[in-house]
Amino acid sequence: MSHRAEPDNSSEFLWATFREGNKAAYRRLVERYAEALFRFGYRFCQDEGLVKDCIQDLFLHLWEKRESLPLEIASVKAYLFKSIRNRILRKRSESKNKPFDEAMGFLLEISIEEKIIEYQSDIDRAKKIKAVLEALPARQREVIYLRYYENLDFQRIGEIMNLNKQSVHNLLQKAYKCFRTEWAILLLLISLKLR
Amino acid sequence: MNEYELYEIEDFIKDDFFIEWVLVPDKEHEEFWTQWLATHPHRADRVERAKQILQSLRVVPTEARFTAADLSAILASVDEGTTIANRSAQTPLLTWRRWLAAAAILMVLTGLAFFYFTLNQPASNPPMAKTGLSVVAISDSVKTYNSSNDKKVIKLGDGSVVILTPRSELSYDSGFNKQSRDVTLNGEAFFDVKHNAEKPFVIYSHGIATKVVGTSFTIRSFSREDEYHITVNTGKVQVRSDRPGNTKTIVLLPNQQLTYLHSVLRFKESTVSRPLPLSENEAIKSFSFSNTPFNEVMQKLEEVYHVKIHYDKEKYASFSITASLSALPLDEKIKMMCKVVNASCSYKDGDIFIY
Repeated sequence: MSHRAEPDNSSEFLWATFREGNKAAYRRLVERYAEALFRFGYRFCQDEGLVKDCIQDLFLHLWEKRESLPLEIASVKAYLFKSIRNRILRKRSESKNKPFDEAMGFLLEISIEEKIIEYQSDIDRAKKIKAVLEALPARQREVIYLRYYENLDFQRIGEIMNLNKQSVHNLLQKAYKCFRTEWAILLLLISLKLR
Repeated sequence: MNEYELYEIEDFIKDDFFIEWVLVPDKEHEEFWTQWLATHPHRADRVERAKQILQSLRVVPTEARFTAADLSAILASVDEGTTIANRSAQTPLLTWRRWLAAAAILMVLTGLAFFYFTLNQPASNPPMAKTGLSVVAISDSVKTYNSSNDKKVIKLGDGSVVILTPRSELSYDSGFNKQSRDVTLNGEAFFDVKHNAEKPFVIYSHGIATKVVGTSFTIRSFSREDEYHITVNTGKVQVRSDRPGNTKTIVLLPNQQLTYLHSVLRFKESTVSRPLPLSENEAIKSFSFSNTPFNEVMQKLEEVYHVKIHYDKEKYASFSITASLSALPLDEKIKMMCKVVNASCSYKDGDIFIY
């Protein structure tokens, strides 16, 4: 999984400037994050209109309520991701008349760039990883996405998912454990087939 | 950590310390693994293969995409929201779908060509605009991005000329040349600004505001770099940091340059070691022509400004020029040349055409 997320230093400066009413800084923030928010939000709810509405609502709300927002935030990205996550999960449970359930799905599909792999047996290994990852529980998939695709650290992931740093670490460890178990099972199944 | 010596490929790909190094490395991981590989070269091939496996994994982009049109719809709705002073709770906010339609119409009506491109799709590259200059109209602002490998020329509504370096973007909105001339730069460009004392020309780039009245200079300000850099060719330039509370303004003269480091919030002035080719004295040398063939003059312009000029070489080969063009901004140099040979000129797709 390779995707270099943007370095965050100037976003905090944009945030401080926007908060004081600078519209150009505000627009820059929208331009910088709207798409990433969609890529993340859509994974919780595959209703394009709902997700895009949420993003629009969020940005409008931020502008209107800017004076009540914190002047300095450590990570604009984490703040925005957390906000959109909450909004979408809430809206999703409203429309389905089911209570707000954190454990609801997280869409994550993996593909394999075969041409960077030299050995066929390694391609098979990559495919196994893919199968295991796609079968992980939703929250573990979410942590993996935020860690390895959006390059966020445990602190930030915790902010977004409303967990403390240690819980994020544990969640990731659970994923690895799950992964190793699944892998062993897959190996067993394959060896059984070969007999 | 001694166990790593006995690890096979499948053990590496399941190890979190290894995974972190391959996918999200930091100093600690880098130091450990570089050292480990140096002391265990016989295991390097296993490490390499495990690395390949992990690096081959890609997140599949979502089926639904967030497009430039969507961004423009949000920005438009935001503008609408910010101009209405007291939006009553009863007035429903237009959903993005309605704004999408309105924004799409706006784009068509402005008559500007725009290339549809998806923003930052991780698993594929954005389609390259054939001419190298992508122009996108978002709400009432125009963004021009140079995706080619050559510098490209943009002529602005007031006659000023901007030469945009590859991978750089210039944007401005419909307010340009009304009360003021404001543009935003992300990247590097050479500006040849038409003199107008009534309407100052201001360039915003990552929190620095550069103000001029009529002059030429180069600004370099990329998002990914810590520095803002400006070099002045002619005229006088005022630079100020947009950061709230900062009132310091610095004035620069020809052949002076300024660097601003965002990380330490500090300006650094200096003089260039060699006078710039477009600074006054150098320009007088370069652009004083005496019975110089037209083609040679064109070549000189291309060389000094790094732009491409298209013209019929045979048609104008017989003309020779005696003139001093040094004091004129690029736009007027071109116009002057056209007058001499009774031709017209136009700026298209980042190049100059004489016909």
